Amino acid sequence: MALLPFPVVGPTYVNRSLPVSAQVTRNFYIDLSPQGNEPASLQPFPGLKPFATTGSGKNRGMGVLNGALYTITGTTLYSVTSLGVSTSIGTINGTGRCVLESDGTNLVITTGSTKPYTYDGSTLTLGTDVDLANSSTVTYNNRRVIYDGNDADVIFADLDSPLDVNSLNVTIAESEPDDMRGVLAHNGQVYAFGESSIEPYYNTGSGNPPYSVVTNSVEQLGLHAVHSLASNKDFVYFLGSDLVPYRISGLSVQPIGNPAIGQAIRNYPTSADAFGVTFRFDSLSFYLLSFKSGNETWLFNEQSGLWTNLSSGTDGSQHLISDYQFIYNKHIVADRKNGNIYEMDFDTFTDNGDVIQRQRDTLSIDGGTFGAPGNVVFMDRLELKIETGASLIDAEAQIIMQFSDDNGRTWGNENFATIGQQGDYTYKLEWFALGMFTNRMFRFIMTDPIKWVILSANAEVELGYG
Amino acid sequence: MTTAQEIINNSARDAGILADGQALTSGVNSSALHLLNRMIARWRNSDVDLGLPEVLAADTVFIDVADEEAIEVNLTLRLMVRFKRPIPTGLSQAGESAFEELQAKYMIINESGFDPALTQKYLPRKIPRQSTI
Repeated sequence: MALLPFPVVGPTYVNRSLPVSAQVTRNFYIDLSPQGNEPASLQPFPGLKPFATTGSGKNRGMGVLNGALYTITGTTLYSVTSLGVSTSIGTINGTGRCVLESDGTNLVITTGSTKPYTYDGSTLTLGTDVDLANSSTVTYNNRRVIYDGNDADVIFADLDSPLDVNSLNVTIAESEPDDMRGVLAHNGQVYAFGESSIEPYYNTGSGNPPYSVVTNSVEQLGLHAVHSLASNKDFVYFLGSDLVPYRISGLSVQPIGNPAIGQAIRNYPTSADAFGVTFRFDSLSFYLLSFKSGNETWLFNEQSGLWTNLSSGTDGSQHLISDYQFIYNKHIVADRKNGNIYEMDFDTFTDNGDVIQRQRDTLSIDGGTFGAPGNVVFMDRLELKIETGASLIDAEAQIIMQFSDDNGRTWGNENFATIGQQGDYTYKLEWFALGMFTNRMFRFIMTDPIKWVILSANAEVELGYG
Repeated sequence: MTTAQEIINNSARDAGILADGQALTSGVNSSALHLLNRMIARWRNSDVDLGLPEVLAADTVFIDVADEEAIEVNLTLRLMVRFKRPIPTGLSQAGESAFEELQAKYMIINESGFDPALTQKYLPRKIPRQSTI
């Protein structure tokens, strides 16, 4: 009887038609290593290690000014030192998500419900200039802070003076008669995101404002969720007005969604409350898109171009991450539910002590997977290759295997298997006597607080009379 | 006591077409039940009458445990043939010996009688004692 490989590594891709795909990958990311023994593997998303606590209330955003971390919890702005000591600075009114942007001298804060604030390291100031608006977003480019304004306005603050605005420097993004949603500067270009258009601006160096729209480059596509805007060194990411996630590089706008994620987003009660965060570790860049009303978090891996899910607890709820900063040589994140600040850490296997449930629902396999389309498959043995030897010293970790012969509509018994003792790097993880099927998908669930890496799978199969 | 469905499930597991926690599809289940009834009927023709009528999947089958095992092994073999699975030699032999045991247990031996006339003629007579001089 032949031992044949079948695909176990893959993204989350639950199509409206489950026979097309009902794959789920939760709390893993896909790592492509073409030169490795395993060209693709599922690597565990890091756990959350306590770093600091701030006051009561929900996190509203984080920022960095001159090498120091700042965070807003509830209505209070805090500074957090490299030792995790937090200090209250002052009051930031409102309840919604904030954007914290540094201009090198000030931390500029937009709340969406008040005029912007600045904090210069000693004084917290609420803007009063009549030309300032209750902006939701702020960005910095060429010594100038830029805000989204009322209606279709884009507000260019005075040079090196973020709370002062010359009324001549308030311009209307007029390519489309839509309201302004957000602004973001990236690689020298300023993007003004409206409800149904995106206007890229470039710095002309003179005039009021000293910016002009890049000719013939207005996109007939808007920004749906203001705080889905996020960027890294290569791309600007956002959830488009058509509920599709996009990224921009230069003047090129590229959809990064797929039918499955599109269907998921359309099923949420609302997605206007989505927020996006970018981060990078192990030379991999990620865009995290989290939906409050949808109670779901998606993770886009730039390297593979594939999406997986992140969640907290054991019910697939929205992940805890609210915002991210790389500072103090640590990956620092804020908890969306409270004032906790964590370090994202590969050697931590819980989320602040809570279970991380990792899950992989594979593609359906059938006779065609093994070179005989239409044949039934008798499976006498299933071998799942994982990184073994990772059990805790006092207990062998367990993994649950279930299978579904109806494309994920119903699932069979939970079959527990141990993964060997700590240090047993040659342990074989196997299940036997798995019966006959026409098509089958497998589910693997892991909750033990250890390093889980899924590599590949082999099956001892016999192809039979169909 | 067990049901016909339990016998089918055990045989299907042994034949490698059913895993723990899995249910047979209705088509495979009907086919297995048909094979079971056909096997029992055929055994009846070979003088192995288990006293079972044609059973439904949910029917309780009143037979002893040894007979149950013989049925399961032989149904396993039939399922493997049905699904064109290679049959291990040991399993084949186990099926044969289980059937032979059933034959030995259930074989009907008719009473035999002797013709009285033959009895009179050929039965040894009492030999008169020889007189002695």
